[in-house]
Amino acid sequence: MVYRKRAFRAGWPAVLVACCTVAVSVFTACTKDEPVLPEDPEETTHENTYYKLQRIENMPTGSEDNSASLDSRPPVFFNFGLKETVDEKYAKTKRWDISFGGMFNCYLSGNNGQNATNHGFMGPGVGGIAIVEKAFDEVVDIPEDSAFKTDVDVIGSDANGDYGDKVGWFLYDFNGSIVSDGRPEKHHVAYALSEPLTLKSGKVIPPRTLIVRTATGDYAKIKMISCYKDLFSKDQWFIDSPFIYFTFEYVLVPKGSTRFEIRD
Amino acid sequence: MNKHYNKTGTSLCAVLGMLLLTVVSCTKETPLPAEPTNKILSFAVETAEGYLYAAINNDDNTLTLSIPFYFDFPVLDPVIELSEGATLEGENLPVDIDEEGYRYTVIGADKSTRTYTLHIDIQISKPLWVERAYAGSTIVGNACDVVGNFNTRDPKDIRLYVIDEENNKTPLRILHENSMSIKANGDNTYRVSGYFFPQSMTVGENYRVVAEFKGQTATSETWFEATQGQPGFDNPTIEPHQTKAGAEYTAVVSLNSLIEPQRVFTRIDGQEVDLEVISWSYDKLTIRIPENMPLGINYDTFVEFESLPLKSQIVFEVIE
Repeated sequence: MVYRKRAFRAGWPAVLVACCTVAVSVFTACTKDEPVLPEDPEETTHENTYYKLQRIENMPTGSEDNSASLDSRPPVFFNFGLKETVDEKYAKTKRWDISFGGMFNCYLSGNNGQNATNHGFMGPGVGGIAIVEKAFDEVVDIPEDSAFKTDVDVIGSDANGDYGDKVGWFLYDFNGSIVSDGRPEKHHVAYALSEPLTLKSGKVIPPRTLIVRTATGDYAKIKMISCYKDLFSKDQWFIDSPFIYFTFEYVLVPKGSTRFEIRD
Repeated sequence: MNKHYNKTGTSLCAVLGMLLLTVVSCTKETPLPAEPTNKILSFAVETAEGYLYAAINNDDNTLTLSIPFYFDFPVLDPVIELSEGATLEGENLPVDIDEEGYRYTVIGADKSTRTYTLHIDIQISKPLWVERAYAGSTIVGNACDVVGNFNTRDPKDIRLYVIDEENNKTPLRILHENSMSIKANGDNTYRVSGYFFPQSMTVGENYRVVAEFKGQTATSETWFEATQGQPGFDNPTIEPHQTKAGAEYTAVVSLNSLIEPQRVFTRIDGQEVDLEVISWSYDKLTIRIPENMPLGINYDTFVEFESLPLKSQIVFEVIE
């Protein structure tokens, strides 16, 4: 009896714990699970876009008016997965990945809800944007997260041209004398830097490639080809060429990727 | 010893008995009414701070989403989870933040339908208020700056109206979105510029200003009387509007509001020539250009009004 009693005494906590565990298990089994949110349908539609070279030609920004008042026009938002622009009122959603804002809509941003300057501030976007001095085809590795900037209109005019102070995706030639011979028709030309650009001084500017972390965490590398409608090489760009129409190519890869690749 | 053993044994039996009852009650297969297949199980909006979930009421089929004002969302882009096999009628598009009573119809796997109504509750710490920024101009068609406790950086977020004594509401005009602005005054009030009174207001009648912002509506306490100002026509200085001799020409009123013209005239060969007024309204005037109007930019055409001391100029270019 003593043994049993001792045995009982020794086993009481274990039995209690076991009872509680079973009870908790039973109780848990009876409780309805928290709803699990489905994947955002917009995210799943990107399957058709991944790993392919996409080209957008002559994406309009709203006007052919080449006046200085264009510096205060609203930004244009673009969704890589859907291959289309989206309404400005969707700025604080995940429906866009890159914005074209600032002067002449030439300043680019990713979609980020955490940065107070960003168009997507307070929204769910987790995007950012980076630029590398490499040709599009040579860009294979996706940079570390820290390389992606989340400020608004953060990448634009290159420091080798006018109105630029860092690495940019285009070179602006105010007097036409940086790239050309200064004749009036070459004034105010914006040279997209998708290819190497030789300046009048002989200096060669290496090509630029943009890398965007999208609103949903995918990655895209972008080759900005032209700001001018139907004119895709620098010898076709003049002061009176119709702009701003962006032509660019990109490759989109899913969230978690470490490399860009094109699959058949 | 035995007594003690019996006591503890009884307790253990009671615990095990209760546990057994719990298990039995959980596993008992009582037939329940079939769960509807046309339900919204979850309605959420993703933000920088995580998901905001709507309260779902399946009795009156309502979705109520409370959202703090500081998110400053112009639209809500919800993620919706439905019963298994159910679909949503139409596309799940973003909903305007000011939309009241937006409806979602769920089509269940059994083809039954249920329509939910969305209520958006924007949580603002203080009730909205609005007043005109200054007591000066009340000229029909002229600028109307307002102040209020708007918490936004975008003046287009605010919808402004005038309302008359019979509660007829007319939106204020926006001439150029680029010229709109909002300025924080440092005391949690904001001054909004770039809106203009409607040109359709009636001179002599009393009005108040109404603001709609983030689902709230406010009406100014102060009434004002609409007055008439000198009408101004849209006369671009760099590239004047073009017309032809003998043609009809419509001049658009860009400043204030047009009243009945007493006379429209121009000068040809140094002589004043009256022009035919084909039609007019508060925002435009259509005249006929004389057949003998010389080519070039004309600065000598004016409109006279009986009740106004000044003339209003119309500038145009005759190209043939």
